Amino acid sequence: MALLEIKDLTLRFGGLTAVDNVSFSVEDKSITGLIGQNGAGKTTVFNLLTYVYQPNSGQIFLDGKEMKGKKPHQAVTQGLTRTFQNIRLFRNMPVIDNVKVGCLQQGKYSVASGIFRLPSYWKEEKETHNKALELLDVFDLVPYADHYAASLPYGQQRKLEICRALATKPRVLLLDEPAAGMNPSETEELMSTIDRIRQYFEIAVLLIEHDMKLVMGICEKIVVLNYGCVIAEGTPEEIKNNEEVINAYLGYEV
Amino acid sequence: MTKSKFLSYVVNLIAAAAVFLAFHLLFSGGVVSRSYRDLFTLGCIYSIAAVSLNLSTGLLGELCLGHAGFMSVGAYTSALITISFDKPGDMPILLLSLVIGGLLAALSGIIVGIPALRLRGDYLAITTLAFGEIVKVIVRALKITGGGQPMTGISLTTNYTLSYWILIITIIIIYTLIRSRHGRAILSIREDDIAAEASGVAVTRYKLLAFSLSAFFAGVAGGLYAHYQGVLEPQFFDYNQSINFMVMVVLGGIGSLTGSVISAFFLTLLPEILRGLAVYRTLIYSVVLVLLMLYRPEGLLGQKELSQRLFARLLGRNGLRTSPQSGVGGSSASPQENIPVSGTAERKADSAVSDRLGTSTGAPEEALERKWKGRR
Repeated sequence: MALLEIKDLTLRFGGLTAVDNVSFSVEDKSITGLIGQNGAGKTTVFNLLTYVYQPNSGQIFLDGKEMKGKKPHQAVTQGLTRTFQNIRLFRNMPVIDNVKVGCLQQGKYSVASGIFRLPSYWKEEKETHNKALELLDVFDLVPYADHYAASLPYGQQRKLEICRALATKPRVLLLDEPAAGMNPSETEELMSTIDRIRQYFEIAVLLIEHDMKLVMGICEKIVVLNYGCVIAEGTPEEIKNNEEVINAYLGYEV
Repeated sequence: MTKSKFLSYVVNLIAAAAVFLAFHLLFSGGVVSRSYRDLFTLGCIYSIAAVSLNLSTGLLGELCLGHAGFMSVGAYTSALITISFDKPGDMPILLLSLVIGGLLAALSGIIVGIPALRLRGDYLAITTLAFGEIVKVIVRALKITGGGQPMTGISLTTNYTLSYWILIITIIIIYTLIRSRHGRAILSIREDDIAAEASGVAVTRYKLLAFSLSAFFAGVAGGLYAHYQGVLEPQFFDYNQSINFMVMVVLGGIGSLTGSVISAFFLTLLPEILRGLAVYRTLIYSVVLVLLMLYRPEGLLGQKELSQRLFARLLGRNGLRTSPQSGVGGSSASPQENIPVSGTAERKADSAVSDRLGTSTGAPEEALERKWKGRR
């Protein structure tokens, strides 16, 4: 059975149906691409998955259990963490602290033991610090650990955002247009970053992307959205040759 | 706790005690006049208020214009308690009343905060402004607080020793809070609340935590003020006073606790120092503020803290990291010393990390893989 299953998800904004009976699934340890035109409802699906919006109807299952929640942070607790199309970092905090915020939910010590610095504080802070360094190490960000997040170059900021999301130990990582605004070499680097996620973390990745080279290159499965509906679902090969997808999104080669 | 960290605690405590001793000698030796001693006390009280406002405004990032309202709650509560005990000058009772006054202020902070903290920016500012006014009106309406008349008969128990050490405790508590995992959550909300929420931070809960703690210390400051002044008037705690505290926070540097203390003392002393200039006093006060904001918009200290590291850096000692917000106690996680950024050096740093992680440099990946394939 698939790790993440979305069933008949519908969201209406007034008269507009932004997400219309969307159903698809994401297999464990795989990378699934979600593509479609601007305004097709891709990011809205992400927002539904992370409880930014409540669906009008439909269900989401993670590992067979129905996901229900009201606040985005609950999605993180349940195992879904996302990144944003326009990078959202804690800009005036050190790089390593960005990652440590991601570790927050695994933390145990109370506010009081934090204030009075009881032994549990020291023990856990050390663990968190090492864990954050390990994660930064995976993405070659250790040299920047003490720099402000805002001072990183664009490509590194994207990596840090992914790193922070991974710090929450998600079961499904949702990447919203990770290659947006990147030049070709940065995109190359991003592909290797995503490869590393696959290699080290064994989690499912669902990514929204417009860069077809990237999507076709790394995804095992692709879901195509058009005007809020799923119009195709399949392997990159199938999608490339799907008449409807070509008409709606990919276009013909001239 | 590492040895160097313990040492830095000791150094900080000694520094705090030394500052106190210096002032104590000045006051008890009769070097400075009584009025300056009282100003020092007032400066401490205002510092507590400013530092606590810095928690909600500078660190949590929510503009709060009703801080004097929380102070008022604490002041009247504490005064009523000590009056009802009828033992003027009794220190334990004062301390008890301060804590209860603080708790009540924190409670009112939670009551205001639950609806208000859903709002953002300007809206929250207006709501808290309204809260301050509501408190004023309630105090005027109640008989027990003297109605429209000033409340009198409060013993003058507050002294500079008490105020100073409560200020130190306030700074320590807020400082250590901010450098715990909860504090990082609070800072992340200031930076980007949407990203914080998406990273698993229960935003509302942490906002309430910071806001109520901020109100608590404002209440304590209010209690101290009541027993410093001996008389309480509702209009003392109006929005002017709230804005006064806001000025202290902005002037000292938003997010810098020690900056708030410095500017609180500066702004408390300034009118006194300028007393001789009579009518030009307020003019100079405003000009000083305008100039400071023009030439140092980030405030006196910016986001830095007055700390050993800052001193060490000023003295030009190298080898200390310029890690942001490194302050009195040193950040919990010791920042790596001098991490080179360039190519080959990068690799060196990497292997240093692997060494620290207890993984052999040869196969750090395996160890990582093992570690991160845990959750299931």
